[in-house]
Formats: sequence, structure tokens, C-alpha cells
Amino acid sequence: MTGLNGSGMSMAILEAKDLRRDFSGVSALDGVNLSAASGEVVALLGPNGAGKTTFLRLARGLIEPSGGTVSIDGCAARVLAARGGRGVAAVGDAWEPAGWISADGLGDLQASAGPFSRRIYGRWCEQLNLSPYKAFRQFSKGQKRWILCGLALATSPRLLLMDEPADGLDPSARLLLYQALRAYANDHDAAVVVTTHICGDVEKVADRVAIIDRGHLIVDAELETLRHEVRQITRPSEAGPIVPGNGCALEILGHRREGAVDLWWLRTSNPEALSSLAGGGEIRPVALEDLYLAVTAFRSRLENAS
Amino acid sequence: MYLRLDHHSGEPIYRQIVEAVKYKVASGELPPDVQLPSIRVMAGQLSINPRTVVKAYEELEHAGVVIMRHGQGVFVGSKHGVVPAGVRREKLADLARRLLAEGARLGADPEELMKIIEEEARHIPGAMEREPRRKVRI
Repeated sequence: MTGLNGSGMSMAILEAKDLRRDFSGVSALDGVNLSAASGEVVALLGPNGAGKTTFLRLARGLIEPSGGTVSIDGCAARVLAARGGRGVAAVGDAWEPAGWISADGLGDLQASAGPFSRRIYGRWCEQLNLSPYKAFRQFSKGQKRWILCGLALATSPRLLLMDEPADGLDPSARLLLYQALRAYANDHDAAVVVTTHICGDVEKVADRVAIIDRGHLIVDAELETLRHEVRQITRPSEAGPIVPGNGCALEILGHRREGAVDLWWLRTSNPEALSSLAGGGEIRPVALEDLYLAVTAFRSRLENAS
Repeated sequence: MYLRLDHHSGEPIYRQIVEAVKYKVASGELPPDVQLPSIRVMAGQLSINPRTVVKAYEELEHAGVVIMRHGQGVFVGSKHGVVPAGVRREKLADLARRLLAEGARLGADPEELMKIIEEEARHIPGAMEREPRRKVRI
């Protein structure tokens, strides 16, 4: 099914341009530009209240933007939602089915609403050995999550919007879920946007990471690029601040002082040239989780200072 | 084919695939003309974007390690590779110069480096066995 020819650029399915949303005068999302292309898995990270859920709700067309646009295959999300929202599936914390319905019954319900593959849904539930006859309320929090993900995947959407889909899942089920999302994007040329607090999982399967903080998009980059370009430098505090320049273009993403040493997080297109800048400091690659913590903490300190 | 990815090594995934395949070819685990997993299968096995696999295979093809035959698949190159002799010599020399320079930075002289190369090669099964010399007709 994939129209993969090696060089063809993927098309953007989800596209947000200068997207804004205020809630009673308070800005929840402030000028976000973010897209998700076919075949792409985008990890959306951010502290609680950063605007991730607001972004997903805007993308689902549940709420109206205060400014800017968000569209799916060129159609405004609100318009698409009013037409039934076909092609978009979501897992979020907003909706939970009635507790007495069986897992099987949920499938029937979903099938009556539009395209739905019982085969995909059935196999999905079998993966965690979930009984199709059990009432929804009898499943654990993680199992409920799994069922909702299965319902979403079985509608064969073009765009999957997952708000904390792995919430409550144990580590092995989380891995299964993320691998399934990856496979789904690969096999159906679909776009997947997923929010999470556990960076390590999503780091393995995502193509791109977007970090939102206080309504602003502060990082939007391919993970392959970050793996190559982001480094952590540890060096004595007395060495002073790292100054961009020296013929080495770099961006300072974060800084923290720990006792007598400074930790710096830098991004540069030429990591080989960093050794001269580090001044004897230790240079290390960075895990997504550390990068996430570093940039969000750095931002909050910068804003508190100003 | 078994590949293990390290998401925290600072090395892009595509390059990890390139290095792993090069190693497997050098060690004989992947003999000449053997077919590599298709792009889709490889992306599925590793849970990564097919584009990443494409990038790795393209780089491997560029380096003369594999050959992509349209509509057939990706194959390990035959023994002496598809790289012309002159290019091959220049590539090897370039590699040696880089190794010498990096070694010098760590305070190693060429002799030490050569010893280390020999030691490392012994860890690769069969790498140190020489092919029987062909008789040279005079």
C-alpha cells in the first residue's frame, strides 16, 4: 500500500499554521506551526498544561481556533468534524464509553458509525488476551486504553491523534502499542501524532519530536537530526559560559549548574567541531528525555528571569 | 538479519544500519550476493520509518557495499565490489589518513595503530586467513 519510491517527499496530512487558542483571555496555544506528513509519527511532548491537549482538540475540530488554521488534507478541522470527521481517529481522555458495554459491543458500536475492521480490532484485543465478552468497566486502566486504541486503529484513519495513549500500560504493552503505531503509519501511509510523558518509548519509533511549552512550540525537529546534532557538554563552572562562534554555528538549548560543573545542551550541525569549544569538558550524546527536561527547565528560567 | 539499534549513542539510526551491515559484510555473516531484507520488512522489524532504511541502503549502495536491483531487491555486492580500483585505493587511503589523524589526537603513533588494527581484525572470524596466493606466471 505504501507508495514508497525512496525519494518521494511525503505529503502533509495535518497542518497547523500560526494556530492560537485562548480560554477566557488566557492563551493556551500561541502561534503554533506544526505538521504531520503521511507515514510520519510525530511525538508531541510538553509539561502538564503546555497546550498539547488543546492542540489535539483543535486538530480534532472539537474547539474553534482563536487564530490561525489547522487542516487535515487541506480541509479545516472544524469543517471536517462537522461532516463526521471521517479519516481522523483519536484517543483522548475526553471520551469513555459506558461501563457495561462489552469489548465486543464496543466494536459493534464503532462499526455502526463508519468504516471499521472487526478483524483488526479482534486481533488487537487478542494481543493482550482481553476477553471480548467482559464489560468495559471490568478492565484495568491500561486495558481500557488498549481497547480505545484498537477501536481507533480499526477505523483505518489517515490521521491518528493519540493523547497519552500509553497511560496506564505496562512497559511491554507500551512497546507493543508504539510498535503498532509505527507499523500502522508505515503500512497505511497514515500520520500519527502522539503525546506522552515517557520519552524513552516514543523515541524508538517516532520520526519527529515537537516540544510545546506554555503554548509555544520550542523544538520541532527530526529525531535523526537531533541524534546527530545535539550534545551535552559537562565542564567546570569556572570555564565560564559557552559562547557561540569560533567558526562553529551552535544553538544553546539548555544550561544547568550542578555544584562546580556546568551542564550545557547544544545543537550544532558539526558536532565533530565541538571538542575545541568544550575546553576539556566531556561531550556526550543526549537521550530525548534529558533533552526534554533541559529545554523546558531552561525556558522556564529564562522567562522567570525576564 | 539481526540488528540492534542504540537510540542514545548520538549516531543517527540510518548510520547505525550502514555500519552494522558493513560489519556483517566484512565478517562474512552476509556473504556476497545474498539478499538483504526489503525496505518494508526492515522498517517493520526495527519499528522505524521506511525512509530511514532507504537512506541507509542508498548510502550502502553509494559505498559499494550493496547493489539495489530495481524490482528485485537489495543484494550484498560481489567480492571485489562495484567500486573501480582507483576509487577504491583512494577511499582506503582516505580512511587510513583519517585514522592516523584521529590516532595522533589521542597520542598514538602509527605502529600502535597497526597493532590495534591487527588485534581487532582477529576478533572478526576468518578475517586474518589469507587466500592462497595465485601462482604468478613469468
